[in-house]
Amino acid sequence: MIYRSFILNKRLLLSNTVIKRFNHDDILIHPRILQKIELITKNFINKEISPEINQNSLSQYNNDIKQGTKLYNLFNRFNELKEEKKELVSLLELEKGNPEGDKELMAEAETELDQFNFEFSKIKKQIETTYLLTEKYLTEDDLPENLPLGCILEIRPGVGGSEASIFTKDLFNMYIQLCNKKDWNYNIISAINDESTATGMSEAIIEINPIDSLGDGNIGCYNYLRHETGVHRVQRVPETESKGRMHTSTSSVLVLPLHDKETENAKAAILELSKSKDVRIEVMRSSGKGGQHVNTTNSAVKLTHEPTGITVYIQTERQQHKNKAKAFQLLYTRLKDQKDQASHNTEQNMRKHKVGNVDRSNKIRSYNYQSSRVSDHRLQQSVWQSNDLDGFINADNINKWDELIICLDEEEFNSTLKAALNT
Amino acid sequence: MRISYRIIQNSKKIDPLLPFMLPQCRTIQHANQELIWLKNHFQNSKSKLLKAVLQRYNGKPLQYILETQPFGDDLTIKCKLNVLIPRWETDDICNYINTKILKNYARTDKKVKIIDLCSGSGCVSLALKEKNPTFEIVGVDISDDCIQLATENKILNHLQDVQYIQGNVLRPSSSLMNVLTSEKDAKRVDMIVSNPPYVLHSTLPQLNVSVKKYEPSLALFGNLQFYENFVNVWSNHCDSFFYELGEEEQYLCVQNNLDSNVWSVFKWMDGNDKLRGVYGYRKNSNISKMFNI
Repeated sequence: MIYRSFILNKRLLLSNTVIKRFNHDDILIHPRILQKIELITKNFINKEISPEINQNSLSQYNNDIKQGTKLYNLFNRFNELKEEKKELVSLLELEKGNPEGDKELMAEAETELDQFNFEFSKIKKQIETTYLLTEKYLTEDDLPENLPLGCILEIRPGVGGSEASIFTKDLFNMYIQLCNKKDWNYNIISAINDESTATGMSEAIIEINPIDSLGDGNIGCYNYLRHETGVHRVQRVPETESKGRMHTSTSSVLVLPLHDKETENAKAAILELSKSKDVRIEVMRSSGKGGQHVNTTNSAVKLTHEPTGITVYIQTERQQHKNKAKAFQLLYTRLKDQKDQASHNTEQNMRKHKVGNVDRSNKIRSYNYQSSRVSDHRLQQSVWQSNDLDGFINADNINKWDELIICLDEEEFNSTLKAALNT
Repeated sequence: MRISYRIIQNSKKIDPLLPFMLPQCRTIQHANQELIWLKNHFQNSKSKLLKAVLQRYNGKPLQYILETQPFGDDLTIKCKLNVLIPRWETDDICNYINTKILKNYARTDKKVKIIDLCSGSGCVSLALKEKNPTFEIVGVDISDDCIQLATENKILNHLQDVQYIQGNVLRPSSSLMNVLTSEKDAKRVDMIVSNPPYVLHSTLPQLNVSVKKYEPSLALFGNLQFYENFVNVWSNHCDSFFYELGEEEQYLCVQNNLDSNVWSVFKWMDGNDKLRGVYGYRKNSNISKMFNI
């Protein structure tokens, strides 16, 4: 995520640095990080202090050493780069003073300088990421390259009655379009039409997977779509409105990571779940005699997890046990997410400062039809806004989407960093 | 029961074809799902889709229109007129037999042999073969259409070594008997499975159009004859059995007439909590230890 965003943002970044490209102090490392590095140098590299290690803390200690060494090495590389850049800059300034200087050489040196600046930001980001890892603000699993690739996306209407269910359908179409544009595999697990409005939807669940998990874009759908979790707000005159008043309605989106079906852990957990007494399985209840007496095509399966009250309803397959398998997979994903969310929350509460907005009930984005504008409420530092609502919602303008995701990634990273540095 | 006017109006708004699906499906949600299946199947031809929707409106079973029904773990069973469509209860029974009884079953002295009586489309025998590729499985049915379709299904699902024989289960000829129980040592097969016709004639008026108008009555109607026939004929040739059924008296027929010193007999309930099967085993047989209940 971080590296990739920089490649995409390279041009933007370089144009910003043009002004201060000769100033080699422009990229600074936060003093707290410097302190940490100093500490690491003392503890692990020069081994001035030998900490007490017992059996329990050994793996923890080893991990600390690993991260510490990584940070130390990165910092050394940073300093090396700094020296090299200094030389280059002095060389350039020398050439500048010379009116008969070689123009070609100058241009070459300047592109090199650009590259240096790019390298710098990259390494700075790496240092910061490693710092967050050592400070336990991030875990290895949170890194974009370690996130699961696939995801399950669920959309449900919020406030606003039938208009909300119509907007749910709009969002559903938007994500389908996005999947098409991105060449992702999608599979509609459940799409329940709202019976009262006919054009709306009361629930939509889509399973999305990258087309080939080994592809170049080491970025999974989950990493891209995870920012969609939250409440989406729409402002428009609904088609059901007779007096032309503007309404504000919402739909909520939930994106869950899809843990690989193939992993042994997940498989065992799903099997255990299917045997557990906590799950109530309901199949299509025909009141008649069943068997040869009827030929039912309704193979829907409904699972209810009694302790948590989570229900899953699947009807897309023509065979009951396939629906059941799908339903258990989905139930497992939801339960796991709930568990993860709970442990995440307790972790957050233990810290003095909460990191970012992770609450799912937060309003994250507005779609204003009257001014044809889409704005994201989470962005504070960067000003991202789309003035082409139709282009956005039909995913015609895929660059706009990419831009938004990069901004959100950065926003998230920066707020975590800020929280880590201000404690 | 009449479908309410409001539901028809609403379904029309979603898709103009949807109202035609309602008589069979009853709810918009399910009608929509069936329409999606039909649309996926007839992607290329609008006229074929329209024809299919009209057929469905008249009560033709979806499986005859789509010509297939998924079954077992990963089987596709072809469905044709004159052959009974596999039911989900039968699917559950196959799953039960595979996972609860046959899972670790093997014999050292000879090949495990299973006979499927009234094999129909071949769904039961193929589902057992799918999970137990080393077993010898033979299907018997009286209808030529069934034998032909079952053989087709075997090829379609790339399974070998399943034999289908045309024959009368109620009055087996001696040549059929010889083929089925040809082992020299013991003239008993390991298991007999069957999904015989068990719908009572008296329930005919209550049956759904799609069943009574389109499915073969030969495969539907019967009462005790197949269960009496099992007790008198087939039980002498097997170590264990599993029969699908629909009535309590059919279960009792088997339970009461088998010698309880030799046989253990049990009820089997389906996912809808209805009595759907009877199964049992000889107490001194090889396979009996697989039934640890």
